[in-house]
Amino acid sequence: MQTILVCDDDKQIVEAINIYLTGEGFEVIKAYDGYEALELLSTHEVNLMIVDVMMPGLDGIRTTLKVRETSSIPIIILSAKSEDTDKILGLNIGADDYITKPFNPLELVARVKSQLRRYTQLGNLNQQNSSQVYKCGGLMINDENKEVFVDGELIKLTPIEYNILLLLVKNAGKVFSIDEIYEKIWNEDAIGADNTVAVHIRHIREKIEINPKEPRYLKVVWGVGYKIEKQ
Amino acid sequence: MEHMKSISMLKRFVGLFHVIFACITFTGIGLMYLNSNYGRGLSWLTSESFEQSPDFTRKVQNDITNIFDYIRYQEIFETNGTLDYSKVVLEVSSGPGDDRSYTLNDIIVYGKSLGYYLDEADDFALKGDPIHVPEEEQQQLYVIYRCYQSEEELTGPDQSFATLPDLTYEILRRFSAYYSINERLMSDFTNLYYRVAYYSNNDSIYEVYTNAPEMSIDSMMSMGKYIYYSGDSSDLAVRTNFDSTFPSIPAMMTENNPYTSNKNYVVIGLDTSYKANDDYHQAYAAYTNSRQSFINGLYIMFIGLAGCVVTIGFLIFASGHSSFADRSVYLYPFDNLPTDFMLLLMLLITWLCVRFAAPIVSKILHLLVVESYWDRANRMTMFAAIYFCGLLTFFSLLRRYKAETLWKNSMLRRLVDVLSESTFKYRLTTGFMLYLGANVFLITLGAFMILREEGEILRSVPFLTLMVIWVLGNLMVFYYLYRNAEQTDRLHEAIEKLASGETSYKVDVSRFSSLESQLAEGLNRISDGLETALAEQVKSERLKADLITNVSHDIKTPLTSIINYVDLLKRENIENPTVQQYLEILDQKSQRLKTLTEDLVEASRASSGNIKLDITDIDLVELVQQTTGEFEDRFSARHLELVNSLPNEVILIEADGRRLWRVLENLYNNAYKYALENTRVYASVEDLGSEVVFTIKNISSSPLNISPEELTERFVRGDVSRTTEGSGLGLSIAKDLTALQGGKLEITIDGDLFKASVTFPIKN
Repeated sequence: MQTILVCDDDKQIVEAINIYLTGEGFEVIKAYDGYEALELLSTHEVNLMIVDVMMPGLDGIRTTLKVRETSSIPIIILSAKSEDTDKILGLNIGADDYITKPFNPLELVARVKSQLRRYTQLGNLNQQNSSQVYKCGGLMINDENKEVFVDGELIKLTPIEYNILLLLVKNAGKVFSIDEIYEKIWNEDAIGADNTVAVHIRHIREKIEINPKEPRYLKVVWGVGYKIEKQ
Repeated sequence: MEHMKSISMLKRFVGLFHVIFACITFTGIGLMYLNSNYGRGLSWLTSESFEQSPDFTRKVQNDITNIFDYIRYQEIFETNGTLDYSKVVLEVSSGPGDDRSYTLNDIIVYGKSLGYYLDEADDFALKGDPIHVPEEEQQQLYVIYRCYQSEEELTGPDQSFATLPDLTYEILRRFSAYYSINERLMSDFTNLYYRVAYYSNNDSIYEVYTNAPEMSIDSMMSMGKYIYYSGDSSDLAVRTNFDSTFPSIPAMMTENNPYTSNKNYVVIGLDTSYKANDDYHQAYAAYTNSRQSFINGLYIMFIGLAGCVVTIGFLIFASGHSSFADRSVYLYPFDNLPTDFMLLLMLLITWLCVRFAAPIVSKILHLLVVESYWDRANRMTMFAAIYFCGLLTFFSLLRRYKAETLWKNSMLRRLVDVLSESTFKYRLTTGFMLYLGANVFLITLGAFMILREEGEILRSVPFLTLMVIWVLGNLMVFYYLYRNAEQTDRLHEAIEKLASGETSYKVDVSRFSSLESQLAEGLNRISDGLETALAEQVKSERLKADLITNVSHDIKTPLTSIINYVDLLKRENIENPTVQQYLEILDQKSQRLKTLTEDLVEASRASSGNIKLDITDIDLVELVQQTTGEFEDRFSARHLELVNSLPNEVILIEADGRRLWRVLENLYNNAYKYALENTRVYASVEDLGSEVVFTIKNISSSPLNISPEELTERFVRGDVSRTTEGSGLGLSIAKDLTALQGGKLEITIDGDLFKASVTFPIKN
């Protein structure tokens, strides 16, 4: 049983999250401000923390900073602030994920699970250290079995999708334009290339990302191409 | 107050002293002026003795002439070295057989009867006028002999005839000279000693003329000043210690030589101790005296000048102040007259003084002063008048300067003020009138001068001055016009810049004058106002955006609960279909509220420009392909066929990829939402050379009864009742974001055809 600390000054939101997470089999402990959260952290064994930013007393950002002084548990910030700068700030000070309010309950649960898997599987991922295995954050491709895992969960891809993803993962950080991908995968000149590549990419994203609109792995560099973020 | 009184009294005293010192200066100048050595500079005061003075040389020369004259007069009037009154001096004939001879005595007696006399006080000069001459004595007589002229010389007819009074006058004139010289040189009271000696070839026959028979030549030459001249051809040198060698001596020697031989000499000695009280003694005393008086005059003048300078210095320092401590300036009523008016007034007063007052004073002075000094007295009074008026003017100007009203309180300044304050029209008119007037006056004057002076016009100083003034005046007018034009240009430039949106542009006011500087200041104020207004606007937009952002945060928290609990409710297995329907509505509306909140923030940021752009090079074709990929599935779900028409090349533009994606996303979303099902949506990218245009076209599912402009305005949608999806902000956001990145979004509606095009400049 994994324990999740939920901290928000809005009791109803905490309660709703409690219901979702409990339904998924997690144990939830509740806090309503930063000090309470820190206290609970010191007395309980917590596997993951969800924290709101705008709270009276100690706010989410400072709470996260405090937690990070002693602990490396996954922290998901849940905030009404949806600006890019807010997200960047949150992730920079040590949060692992950033979810904006109002959130989709399913997405929240998915992200919680994802973070937990990554956290707990960090150790045994190292075992499969063959030359055929490509890793990128929570994304792992085992080229021997043609298998793709996201946070340890097996994902089913079509051969073309698999090849595209493999190409991008192998060259993580490099941006490929649609034409380049087409030429590499189909081995044809990309004269009058249609929307095939873009559609495939979209499908891959839908399969490997929790929120395809805000991909963690397969990023769209608008007007340039696609890339896998180096992690 | 006591202090004030004392300094004002002191000033009066010092003023009085100044006048006294001025008088002293004049006295000194007068002393020097009236001195007989006036005009000889100053060097003679120190470097010259009496014997070196020109007066002295003239005097000696005069006496040398006298000596030789005396030699001749001795022959005429003397017999054996003594004056002989019975000596015949004149023989005349009035007709045949009527010869008459007159002795000296006769002539003197006759002369006396005519009224002549010798004035003993004036060196025995011949005085008196023949008042009554009888008619018969006016008769022309034939002159047989007259003592002062040898017979051989009586050749001309006019010389042969003369009247008896004329002859008498001539003889008496010479007798007077003889007497005078005799009195001066032959008496014991002389400092001048001489000896003229003539020797015939036979040394025993000689003649010596001297006033010191017992004195040797050497002793004559050792008394002080001397000259020795010898007629002997073996002795050429003139031995003398006079400054002059008296070149007339040889001629006079020869003239009086009774012999054919040239064995003769003249020696003249002057006792420079001036023991005897003769006229040399007196001249020496006068010379010394005059030198002293000149020096005195010089001293007095310098003392007077020094006094003048000191007093005027004090007055300059004290003028206008009531005490030494208080440096504030008090003006007399006279000082409150306009400066230039005062100057003109003083000029007039000075002229009146010189013209009327000075002559009156002069006339009074004439009663007191010798006629020969009248001219000087006139000049003095005139100068005094000018000096006094000048002094008054000067101190008034000084007080004005101290009170800083010299320029401020002048009519000229008022004129300048009036001109610079008044309208351009008035200035132009007045200025042109003045210019015209001055030109007409100067040209007329010039023409008049040309007519009067004719050929010599180019050498006439007044005419040249006039020309210079005329040319300079015109140049000045040109300069003024030029400056004016320059300022207008600058204003023009400033207005252009302001009008083109450079609201921070400022005009340098210091480079403008008078009314133009007001214009410039006005422009600057406009610029300030514009800038402030702009800043205010930006600020208020930002505040609005911030407000919307904050409000959206506050909305999101309760919205989160609503969405979550609606979701939780839906998970409860509620059988009642009505409740399910209600829940569905709640779900939809809360989701829409979410979108709306998010879009609202984005729209306010986009329209206020409060977005940090990350501009990079972007391939528009790639972007359109990517966007197509994102939307294809959704389009086909609504049975929309997406038809792309893209060039097979890279078209680079400069934009922020994510924001441009947001633009395209909104446009595609728009098409997705509002296109008629089972139709085609056309997307194209077109290279227009310098620009690239992306166009998306679709057939609207419902009539577009709205203008394209309204479509891009916030919260406006084609048809409110059409759908519950979307915030209505999509097109507005798209338009603002496009504009922020330097592009242009245009929407056209043609019937049911909806067309949106995004234009960007192509990057070279």
